[in-house]
Amino acid sequence: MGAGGSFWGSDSDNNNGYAGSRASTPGLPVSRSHSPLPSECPSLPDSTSNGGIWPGRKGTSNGSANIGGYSPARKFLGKHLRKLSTTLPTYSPFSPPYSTSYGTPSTPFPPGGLRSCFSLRRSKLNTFLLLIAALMIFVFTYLHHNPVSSKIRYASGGSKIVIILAANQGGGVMSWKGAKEWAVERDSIANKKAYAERWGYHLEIKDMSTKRRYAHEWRESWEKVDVIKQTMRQHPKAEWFWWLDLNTFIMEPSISLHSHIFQHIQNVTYRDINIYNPLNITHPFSKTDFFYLDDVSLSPVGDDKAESINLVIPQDCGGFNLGSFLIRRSEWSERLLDIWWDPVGYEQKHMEWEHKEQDALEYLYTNQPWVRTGTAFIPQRMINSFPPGACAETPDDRRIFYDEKDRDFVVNMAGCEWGRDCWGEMAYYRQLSERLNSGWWKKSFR
Amino acid sequence: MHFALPGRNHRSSPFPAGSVPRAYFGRKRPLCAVVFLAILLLIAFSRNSGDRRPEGAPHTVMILLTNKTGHSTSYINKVVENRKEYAETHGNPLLLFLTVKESNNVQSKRSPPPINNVLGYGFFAGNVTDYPVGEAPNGWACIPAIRHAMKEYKYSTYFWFLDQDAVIMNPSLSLEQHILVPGRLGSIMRRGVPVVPSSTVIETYKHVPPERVQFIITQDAGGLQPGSMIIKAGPWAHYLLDAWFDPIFRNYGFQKAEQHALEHIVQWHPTVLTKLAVIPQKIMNSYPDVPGLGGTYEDGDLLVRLKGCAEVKGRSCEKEFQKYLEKRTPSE
Repeated sequence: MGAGGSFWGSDSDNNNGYAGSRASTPGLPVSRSHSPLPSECPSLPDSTSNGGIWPGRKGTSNGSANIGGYSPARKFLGKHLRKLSTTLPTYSPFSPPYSTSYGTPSTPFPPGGLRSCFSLRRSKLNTFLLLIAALMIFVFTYLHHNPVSSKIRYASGGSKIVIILAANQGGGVMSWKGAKEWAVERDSIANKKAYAERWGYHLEIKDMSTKRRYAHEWRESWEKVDVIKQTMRQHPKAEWFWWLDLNTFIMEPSISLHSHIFQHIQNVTYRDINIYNPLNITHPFSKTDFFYLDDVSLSPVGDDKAESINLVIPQDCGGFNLGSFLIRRSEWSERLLDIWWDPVGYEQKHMEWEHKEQDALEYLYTNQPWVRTGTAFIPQRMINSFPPGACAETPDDRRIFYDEKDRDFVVNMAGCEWGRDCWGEMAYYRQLSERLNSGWWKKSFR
Repeated sequence: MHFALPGRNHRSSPFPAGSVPRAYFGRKRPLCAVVFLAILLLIAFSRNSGDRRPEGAPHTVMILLTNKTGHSTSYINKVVENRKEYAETHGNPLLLFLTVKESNNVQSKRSPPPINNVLGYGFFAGNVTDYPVGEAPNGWACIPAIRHAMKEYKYSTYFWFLDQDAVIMNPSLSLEQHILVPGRLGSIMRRGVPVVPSSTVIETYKHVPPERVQFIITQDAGGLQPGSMIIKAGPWAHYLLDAWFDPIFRNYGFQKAEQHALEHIVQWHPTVLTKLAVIPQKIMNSYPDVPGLGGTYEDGDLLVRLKGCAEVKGRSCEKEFQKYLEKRTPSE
């Protein structure tokens, strides 16, 4: 078997050398015994015959067979292209199938060659551009705060959380609302608005002005329960509802509720009130007196499942604190909101219950076992830190007061309207929050 | 030899013969089989485990709260016999949960009642237990009794509380067919009727599907009658019983104790009203033939509840019980 001539053409001489047990079929590329190795390339410029790449127009030589439809013709472009062609990949029957000179993992790119170099750069450039684009998309939809990322956060779970802000407390009926009260309200609302926008939560600002139907002896101060019921009706798809009093301030807006609480709700909340029990409620129920209760009601941690947590409340030095708490939409909550106010209970106890629905909840928790199974407590400083003025009887209790070093999440200036300066406190905490979160990263990034 | 066209014989495949050994697929098959078996086992296991409900667990539980003061032991025994007979007639679905209540001063050892659970034909003769109702009348004890029964039979669904002073007249009627099956319940539920007949403000809901009902009760001319009531176990039942048993209601001094408290709750709290079904009185609360009572027992009714036999002068629970016992339809 003679040399089969160059890949692109053949000499007329070589035609005769086409050996092989196969006859060439007309019109089909003729099989050759082996493909030419580079050294076998004829020196084309010297030859007057047509072992070139392109089929020459200058006629075919006599007797030469057509190979692939190309006539062995004079080269068209000169020796540079010949050199290029000789460095193109070749197939040798003696080498294993996959170890061609390029295309293997170790040599992904062909060696040399202008064209091949250009394609390598292009794919590298493409990948690089793609990476940059992905990074930018990531930053602008996830890390940075802008309307787009807020919408995305809303759609991916933020819409399940509703912040209920109690505004216009009293409505100026019982006491005049001056410039300072308005300023406090403005700051508080702006703070919650920014927070809700940042994380894609709903915000409901509820008017808590004094209404006749909540007059003294007529469900006085039970508005909270009704408002929550109403909000649950207004947001049928939301899951968690975070109630916030007016005199609160979210100090760390870069913390989302999900990362702060819901992601690990079992770890941050506790079911056994004995961990911190300012009211000294007997918990769990004594097995001798309440032998008829089921095991879950008798257990100190209920059924210890995250799914059964429907109410998350903090406790302050005096008991439950409903200035900032979370309630989940569920059948349990529906029942609680229903039974919370009862005329018989109200009639008997409303003079005794100074904090109205808060004390009523403490009563329900103490006396109705089913309430305990759905309630979880959260350390006060996680969503309800106090300023130094509140809970003044125990100024050294580290569990209660706002700590700048620990960067507590929310401050609740509870009771500031009795004897303290609401506006002063609000301004102080607002400025403190701005100072603590003044870095460019914290301001506009996660 | 290299040819441009693939050869006709299989040996000239582009892949060398040794690159993918034939034995590879043979080796894979045992692994496939193991994975398949494991999946089968998992499915079988998960289908069988369920809620770990034991086989003998009854579907329905009868609750009897006996009051020994003022009643002879033979009377109590007759009552127990009557209930037992009903339970055994219906075999599997019913178990008996008995507790005997004595006067309040007796502090007795409270041990869980022994349960004879062979195929659900159980009979419980309870020890003396005392449900703490504080200063309130004894009628309130039915609520913790039901709670206790739900604790003891935590896999049972329906709990039927029936007063001590009642005779089951027609044991052939099963509770399921007679009341509980949703089709039957839907047909006997009284919708849009005032919960308390004297006040027409709050009425039972019109569109509650029977599947969602958790509490079945009758009413007479005076109001709801918790002397014969059925509660479906679950979180709602705990809610109702705990709210009903609230010390505020016990200490409020309702004129008719737990009956008035229940009426109060039902009227003021829609979460209770939505799960309530009021059924005709004669289904499970017929009264004896006493003038002024109404709802008189007729042949074919399930039971007679001797309402007021202990309170009203001139009536004797034992005598009436005996009278109705003799009138009974013999069970088949």
